[in-house]
Amino acid sequence: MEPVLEVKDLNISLKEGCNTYKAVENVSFSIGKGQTLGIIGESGSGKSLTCMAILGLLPADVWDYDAEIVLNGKSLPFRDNKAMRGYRGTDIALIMQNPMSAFNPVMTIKRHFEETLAAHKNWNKNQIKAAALEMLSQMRIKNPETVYNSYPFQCSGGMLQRIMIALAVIMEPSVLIADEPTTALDLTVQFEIIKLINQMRKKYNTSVVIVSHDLNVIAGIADEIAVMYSGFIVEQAPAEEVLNSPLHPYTAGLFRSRPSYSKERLSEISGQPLSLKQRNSMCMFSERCPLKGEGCSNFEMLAHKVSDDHFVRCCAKEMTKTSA
Amino acid sequence: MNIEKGRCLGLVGESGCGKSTLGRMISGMERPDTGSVLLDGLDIYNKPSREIRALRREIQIVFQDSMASVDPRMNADAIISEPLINFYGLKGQCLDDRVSELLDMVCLPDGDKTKYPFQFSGGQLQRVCIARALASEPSFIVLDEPLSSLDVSVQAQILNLLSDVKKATDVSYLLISHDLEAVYYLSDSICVMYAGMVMESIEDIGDFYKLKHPYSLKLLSLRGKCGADSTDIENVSDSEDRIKGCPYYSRCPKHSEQCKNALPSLEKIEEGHYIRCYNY
Ligand SMILES: Nc1ncnc2c1ncn2[C@@H]1O[C@H](COP(=O)(O)OP(=O)(O)OP(=O)(O)O)[C@@H](O)[C@H]1O
Ligand SMILES: Nc1ncnc2c1ncn2[C@@H]1O[C@H](COP(=O)(O)OP(=O)(O)OP(=O)(O)O)[C@@H](O)[C@H]1O
Ligand SMILES: [Mg+2]
Ligand SMILES: [Mg+2]
Repeated sequence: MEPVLEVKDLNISLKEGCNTYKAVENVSFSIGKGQTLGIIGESGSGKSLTCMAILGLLPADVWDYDAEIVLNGKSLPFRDNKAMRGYRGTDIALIMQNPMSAFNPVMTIKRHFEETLAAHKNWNKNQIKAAALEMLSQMRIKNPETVYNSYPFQCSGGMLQRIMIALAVIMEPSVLIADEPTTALDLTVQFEIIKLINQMRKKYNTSVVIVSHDLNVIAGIADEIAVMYSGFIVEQAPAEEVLNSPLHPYTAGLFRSRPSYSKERLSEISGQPLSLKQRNSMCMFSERCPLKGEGCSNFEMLAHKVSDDHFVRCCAKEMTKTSA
Repeated sequence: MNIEKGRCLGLVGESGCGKSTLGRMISGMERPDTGSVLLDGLDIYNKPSREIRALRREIQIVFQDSMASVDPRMNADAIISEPLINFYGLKGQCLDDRVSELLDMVCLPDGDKTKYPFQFSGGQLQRVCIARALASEPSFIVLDEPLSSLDVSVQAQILNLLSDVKKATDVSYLLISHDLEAVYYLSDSICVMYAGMVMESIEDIGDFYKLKHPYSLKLLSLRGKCGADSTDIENVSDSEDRIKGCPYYSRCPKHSEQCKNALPSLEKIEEGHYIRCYNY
């Protein structure tokens, strides 16, 4: 299948004086029409950076980055802010992790819709309002009319999150990038939002990249899962495979930490991830890894193919055995 | 609602039902129209002003939106030091050591002290806020969605930390979360809210599976079911016009004529179990 979005060798580093520190390394993935890639992983591993980079939203004075990003067969000019404006919203839409900062506090929700839609669609105010109200009620927002006329600070955290999703989805983009879209939502609303995103995929063939720490959400929506740790995708495979038989020791540890209606002390992965400045040329996870062996101290995080569509970046014997 | 010393009350409920508002009222930031909030038996909104300062130390809140709750011009060191200086007069090496210790408790490296809020990822900043709340060694903490942007392995570390701190210092928590598994793990009792009202409460989390309000049942039935074929969800005609009766009326599978006309009161149905429903 022709991929809709292809990210090849995305590298991002932080610039500080004359030093640079790697934050994201060799991230590559591609998504077909109507497909969903779920990204999970350690807090601080570069998931949000990856999302922002695709839309060309990282400030160039702080971040250095390089990649080839191909959208519908054409290379995206992600360095050119002006050119990117033509793509943002219409071709690729981003739902940001922090809902409050995505809104302008002195503008009503109505103004947000008007500005977003006026730039891209030739609609008058009444058409915009009708479409917005329809979308807001699909997001399970009660009395959408009141919300439409309110300011961001008058809405609860979960309401803002849903309004932001409505603003992105209403443009019917061909790729939707959603960074933690359901974090602060109760289960009934979460359920509705995932349903809505799934409907959108079917109806418009939208391709979706979704970042979430909520394994239930990921399990419900992703066709493929990428697991990030310290700037690398450490494991990637079809969703079922990752969920049922995770191979990378980080993925396995992550799944074990999940509470499951018990009071028993939760299993932890001991230790802390390395911060950007501590990262070096050994396996980033080795200090915390139960499978740590001799090869780990100079392992260059190479991808090891376990099968055609499953790779891990791990040098433990256990991994190599599975492929033999 | 009551929260005893050294215990945790889990508060779950619909998005927008008033959980954060309630959390702010309980922590002394927003005066309720009626009713009162008592800490150690004393009304926090009716205190002599000299005691207000002590109150600020006793009650801490971890806000839902961490980015909006910190001063963007302060680095992590300053954010966490503030209560240590104000309430304990710490300085110099002592202060520095304590900040390091707190950062370590929330699993952040020492080098993060000099970072500013915008330099942290979502989950890292959330942990800075948790460290700050723990810094003043309060007797009560409101935790408003404290886990929402943490990956599961850090969630486990933070949940274990909160549980350890609770055992060691007898601090009490109000845990606001939509994550039922986390609520089950940390809480001793649970309260389910809908449209600004307590719909059901259970004093012993061991009775979790006795929850039986139709809205509670809806929440329970959706655990782990995201994205499953969703035909089973009821079609809602959410008109917010407050009807006289039960606010859950229009969505409730068990509604009857009575529910439309009069709001049920919160009734005790067995020891430690309260419910607001005619037809549970
Ligand atoms: N302006 C900055 N200066 C220095 N370091 C930064 C800056 N912005 C982000 N970082 C660091 O870059 C790393 C990647 O951040 P990113 O926001 O992509 O993480 P994430 O995977 O989205 O995490 P989370 O799940 O917690 O949101 C983090 O370790 C963070 O501390
Ligand atoms: N300043 C305000 N002006 C007007 N309405 C407000 C204001 N602040 C909150 N509200 C409304 O009060 C209700 C309760 O808000 P609150 O933030 O307490 O909800 P919540 O239960 O915490 O929801 P969530 O789970 O989405 O965070 C919401 O409907 C919100 O729109
Ligand atoms: Mg992030
Ligand atoms: Mg809230």
